[in-house]
Amino acid sequence: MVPWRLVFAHARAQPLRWALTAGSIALAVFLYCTLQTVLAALDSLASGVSGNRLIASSAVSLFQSLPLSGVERIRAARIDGVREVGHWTWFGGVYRDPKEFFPRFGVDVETMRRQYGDLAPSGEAYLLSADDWDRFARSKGGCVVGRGLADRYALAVGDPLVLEGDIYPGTWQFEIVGVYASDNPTYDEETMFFHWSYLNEGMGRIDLVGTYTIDFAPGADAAAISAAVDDLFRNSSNRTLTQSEAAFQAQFISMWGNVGLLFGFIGASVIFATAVIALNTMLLGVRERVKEIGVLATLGFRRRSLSALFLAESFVICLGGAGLGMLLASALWHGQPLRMATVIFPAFGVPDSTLFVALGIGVGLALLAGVAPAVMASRVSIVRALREG
Amino acid sequence: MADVLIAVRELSRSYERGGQIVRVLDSLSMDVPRGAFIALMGPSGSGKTTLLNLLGGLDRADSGAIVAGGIDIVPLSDDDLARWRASAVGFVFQLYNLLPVLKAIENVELPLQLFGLPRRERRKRAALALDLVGLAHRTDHYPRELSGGQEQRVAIARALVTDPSFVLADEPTGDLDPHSSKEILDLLQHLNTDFGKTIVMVTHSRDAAARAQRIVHLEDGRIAAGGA
Repeated sequence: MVPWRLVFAHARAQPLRWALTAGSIALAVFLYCTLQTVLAALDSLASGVSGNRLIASSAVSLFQSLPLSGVERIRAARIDGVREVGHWTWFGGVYRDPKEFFPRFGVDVETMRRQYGDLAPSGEAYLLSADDWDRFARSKGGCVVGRGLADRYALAVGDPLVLEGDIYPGTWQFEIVGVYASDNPTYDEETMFFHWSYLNEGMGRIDLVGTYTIDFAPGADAAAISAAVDDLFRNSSNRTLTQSEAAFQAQFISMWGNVGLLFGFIGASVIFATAVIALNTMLLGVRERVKEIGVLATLGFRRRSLSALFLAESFVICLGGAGLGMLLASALWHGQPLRMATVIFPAFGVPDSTLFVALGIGVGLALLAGVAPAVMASRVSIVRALREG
Repeated sequence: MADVLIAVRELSRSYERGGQIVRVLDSLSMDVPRGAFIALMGPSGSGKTTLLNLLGGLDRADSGAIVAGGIDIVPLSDDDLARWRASAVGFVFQLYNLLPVLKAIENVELPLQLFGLPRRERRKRAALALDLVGLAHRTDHYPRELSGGQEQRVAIARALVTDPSFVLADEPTGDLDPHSSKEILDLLQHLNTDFGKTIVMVTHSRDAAARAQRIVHLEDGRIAAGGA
């Protein structure tokens, strides 16, 4: 039998100690959930992309540009299985304030439409009406923005959008001609696309692009296509590294090192430290309450009830703290309230599996912090407790 | 022959102190009649509190028997002993031993949790017990908000609320001023004479002992006088 009234009486009597202990657990669980959410988001970057697309980037560095002529070279090679070749170019730049970050890409609109738009045989990544695609294709200085971006800055079709270039210096003026949506969590609604040709002309026809996007027919040999593309540029000054879109996305992740191991180590360290804090608090509680244990035993509470008292307190503190941490993480990472996270990771939210594990951590902490005090409480000599407590 | 509530036979208890075995109770035998009010007196170390602890099942005898209400409590398991304590004994301590985080009525209600009573019934009985000791107006006060005499009266209410067979009091007036001491002794005497409660009280005070029907003197773990 658990004397619950006594459990809550102690919480009432020492709110600061209970709150601080539960708070430290909440913080640890929140951190764990957040780290796992980032990891899950990183995974989703690679998992939600098209399985029929290759990305060719510079073999020297991801930040090294490639010649536009490479697009035609790949097309002209008529590699077996290749269906479409396009290109994307990272613009960088500043909108209003350097802190106001969102991705901006120069693209070839016609091929983008066939690869990611309403004409894509593998399905639409970016949802835009046929009229909007047409208008985008016709408008040289036009751009389309994601729905999230439009909501954030209250942008609408017809509004001007001015960027200060950094990689491509100068002031760049665009007009919004469409607002796209996306029902695929891998593709965000926070990006701006514009005509690469507008950028190229503004820069004096440098004819450089960022990456080649190569779509191939289902069932085609992706490895053979990759090898064939890389062979085309093997003896040039612009060697390519062609890989699946998933592997390309994973390249960003690998740039951060072994993120999973690092996050796992940080999470485990914090939880271990929290477990020690919780255990110390509970043991302190037993030492301070030896007389109370003696009195309860005198009144007829059995040893297992005394154990249950301290175990129950541990569960209330640890599960309360874990619950709070889970709630905080779910609330904070749900509904995309933090723009930076959702710009980088379109599919950002605490996975259910993480919440289950977090709950398990709460139970584990409760047992770890509660069992030793519970055993101690059950072994206290009544006479000694009354005399020395 | 009086109805014997507690029969103590050849009770012995030793402790180890400083590497030496000290025999605190030495083959002690005595009877406590039902409805008696007995004062245990004697010098420090004579075994009074040890005897009280053994009578209440708080400690284990090395040998001998304690038959209380027809049950020999010496061989009982820890759990059975706890159950027996809950129903048969009420304890009153020198330093009251109320739980500071609970209000007066919650302290009194605490032992009733062991009987599976509904909360309303527990609250009702606790209120009655507090009323009996004259503290009906202090139910929602924490121990720190009460005087020493009031705290002891709450402790007595807690001891009585389960309607135990007997009450064991260890120096119940030892920490009180003369006025409060008199009130507590009046209360114990009232419980004995008017409610027939059997009381065994350890005391150093002659005035307190004088309230008892019988005074048992202990010396070196044996009864020196008053055992009959």
